[in-house]
Amino acid sequence: MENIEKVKNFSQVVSNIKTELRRDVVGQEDIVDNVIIAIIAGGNVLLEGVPGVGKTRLVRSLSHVLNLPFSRIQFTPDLMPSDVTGSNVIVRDENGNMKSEFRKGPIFANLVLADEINRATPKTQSAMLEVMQEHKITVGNETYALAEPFFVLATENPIEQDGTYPLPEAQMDRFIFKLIMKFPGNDELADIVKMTQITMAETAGTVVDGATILEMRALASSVPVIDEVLDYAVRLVSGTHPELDKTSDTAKKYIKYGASPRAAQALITCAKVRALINGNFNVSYADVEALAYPVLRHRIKVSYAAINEHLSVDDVIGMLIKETKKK
Amino acid sequence: MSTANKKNDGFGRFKKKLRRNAWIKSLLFGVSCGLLAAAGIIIYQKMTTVSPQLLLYLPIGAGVALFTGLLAFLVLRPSIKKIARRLDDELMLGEKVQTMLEYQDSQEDMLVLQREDANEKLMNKPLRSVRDRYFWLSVILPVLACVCITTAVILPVKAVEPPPPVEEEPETPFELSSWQESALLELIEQVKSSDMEAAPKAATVAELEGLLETLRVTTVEKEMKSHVIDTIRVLNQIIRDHNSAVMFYKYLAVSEYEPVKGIAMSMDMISGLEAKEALNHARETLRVDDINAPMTAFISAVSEALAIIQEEGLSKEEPIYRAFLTLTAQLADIGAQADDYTRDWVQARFDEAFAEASDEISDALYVQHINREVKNTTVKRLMEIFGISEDELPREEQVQLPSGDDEPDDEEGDEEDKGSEGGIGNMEVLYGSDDVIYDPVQNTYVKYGDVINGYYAAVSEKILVGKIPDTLQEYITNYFDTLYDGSEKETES
Repeated sequence: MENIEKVKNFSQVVSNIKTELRRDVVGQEDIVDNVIIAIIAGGNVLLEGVPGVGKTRLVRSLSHVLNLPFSRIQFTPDLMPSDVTGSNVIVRDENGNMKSEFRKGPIFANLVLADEINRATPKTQSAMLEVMQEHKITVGNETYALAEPFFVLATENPIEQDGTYPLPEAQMDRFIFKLIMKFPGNDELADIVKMTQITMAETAGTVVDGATILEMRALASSVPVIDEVLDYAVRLVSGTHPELDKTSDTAKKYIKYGASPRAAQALITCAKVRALINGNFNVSYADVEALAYPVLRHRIKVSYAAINEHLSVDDVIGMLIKETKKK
Repeated sequence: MSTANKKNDGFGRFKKKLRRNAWIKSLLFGVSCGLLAAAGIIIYQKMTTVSPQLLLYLPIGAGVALFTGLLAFLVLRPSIKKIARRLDDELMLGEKVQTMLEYQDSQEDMLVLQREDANEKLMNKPLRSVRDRYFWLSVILPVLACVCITTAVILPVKAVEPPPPVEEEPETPFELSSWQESALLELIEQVKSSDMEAAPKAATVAELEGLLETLRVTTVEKEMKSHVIDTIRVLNQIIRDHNSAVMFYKYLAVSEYEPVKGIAMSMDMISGLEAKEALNHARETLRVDDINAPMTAFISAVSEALAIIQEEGLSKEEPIYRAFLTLTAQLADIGAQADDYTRDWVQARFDEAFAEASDEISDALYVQHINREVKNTTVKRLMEIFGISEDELPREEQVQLPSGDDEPDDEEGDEEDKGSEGGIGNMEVLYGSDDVIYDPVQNTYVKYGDVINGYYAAVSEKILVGKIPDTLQEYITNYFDTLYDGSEKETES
């Protein structure tokens, strides 16, 4: 019965989180919702947006709401992997003897903001792979586990491409969502200006802690998914592969390569969370469809034909959703 | 399951409603189709003027109703899964119902909550919120069926105009008038007093008297005419049976030998004068200085005809028969003695034989001519008395010549086989004419074709003059018949 109460409180908790976040972040409702979903689902998020739309502020505010240790890494071309993970340093012990001691890097936090992640070299970016997937770091012969819950929220600027290093596909696949923060509307912009006239500091209060997030994640995993919906998610992901025989003409024409199996996993995992947030106790087609865009948009690469026809990734995903039949 | 089902009451009431609807619609569809089928049959029957038959449209209508009803139920009957999917779609429940049913036996907290949530959502939805599919079809179709069956029932059977009654011609009454009676009696007297031979005269008088008796009791004109026409037919037959000239014409006409054919024509005309001329022509043909071959042909042709006529049952004492028989016998005798006497003597005998035959045949034909003329006069008079037109009379039978000679079936074949055609009347070339056989008279081998006609002529003479016993005549005749028939068959083929 305790679980039942938790289930019933699930959406209330999320609602409280949103309420607090709205104190620091104006607009961007979808982004906030999806970030919350990703955090509960235990995934990392790639935030893409022009400078000043509130990417960093969102993450910082989130750390306050979740009451989790937060660190920020500003990725630059000269950033070294050890600057992220930490490194062994020679120190004197209390007896004056020299010894090697591991000094933790900024990655050792529950909530990590990897700002402008595409500005770091691939070498440094690859240092994030193990962290993002396995939530642990290997330095030398030692492996260090990171405290749960652990999230990486990376940002990247889509405009400035000079001196950037596109993220490798393997690393892109580690992000459960890619969220695109749009420029706020006039009303929202006015609100932002008014709000920041009072204070630039985040004012959001703490709502939950890490343990609650882990409980919520466990709770969400028990949300039932009927076979038809699961099959729909699978077909949606496999439909992005142009090399498969049963793939639609849209995929064959507009997609260069498709999403990995992680996409299907992410779809169902996040759909469960979304269902609970919306007060439902089962996953629906609507949950899968709504999450298809953030889950798939960074996992598939459109072909030259799509670019030539000015079709975005989201356009192609929309076409695939329409073509994939529900049973 | 039962516990779970009780908990799924919200779903149960929708399920019950949808299944009940499926039943009702299937029933309506089946009954409507059955009614439409029955109406169709009834209308068709009425339009085609066949009276509607209950035994036909009732079972067909019931069969159609049963079949289409079952078919509709199979299509419309919703399974649990279909109902759940439909409720999720139409009530926009986000797969709640399907999930509830798929995990209905699980007792995990989340699933219990899910079921409660789904059930609550369903309970909050009114039953009418589920769209009634095929509603208008289920309304329109029965109405249409009712209209059709009503129309079919009240539709009148197509009226058929009875065929116009056949107006029977009123039978004209007949009563033998005194004039007709007296005229018929007068006709009978005329026949009695005519030169007609006794036998046909007696038969003719008897027939006329019988007619008179019949007509006295006849009351309908149609029957009167029928009796008169029958009488005319009998009178024709009497003369045809009695006048042997017809028979002589029949069997002499088949001859290819021209003089004999001429005689046959005179027989057909029953003209003594014509017969005399024909015989005179024959006599001139059979010249004394070249007598053998023509005379043999003449004798053969006539003898053959006489043999057949005799087989037909004609008396040997019949004048024409007797005259021809005597003539052929005399000619054969003259021919046999020609080398022993002078030409003048032979010629005198020859002319004498023909003259004698000519007179006898002419006299006989004259009598038969009288018979025919009296008969013709009688028939004509009967037609006048009783108002019979020429059109009402039966056509007089034509003499049918023996087949094979006068009615060639295959002209081309005849032309091709002209060189080897045979038969009694044709003594030119026979089948197998070039075969060599032994001739005991000349003690040498001769061509079969050179001697066969001579053999036949000789044996015919012997038969005619009675030198061959009656018991052997038949064998000999059959032998030559077979011989000539065989050659004819080969010729035809």
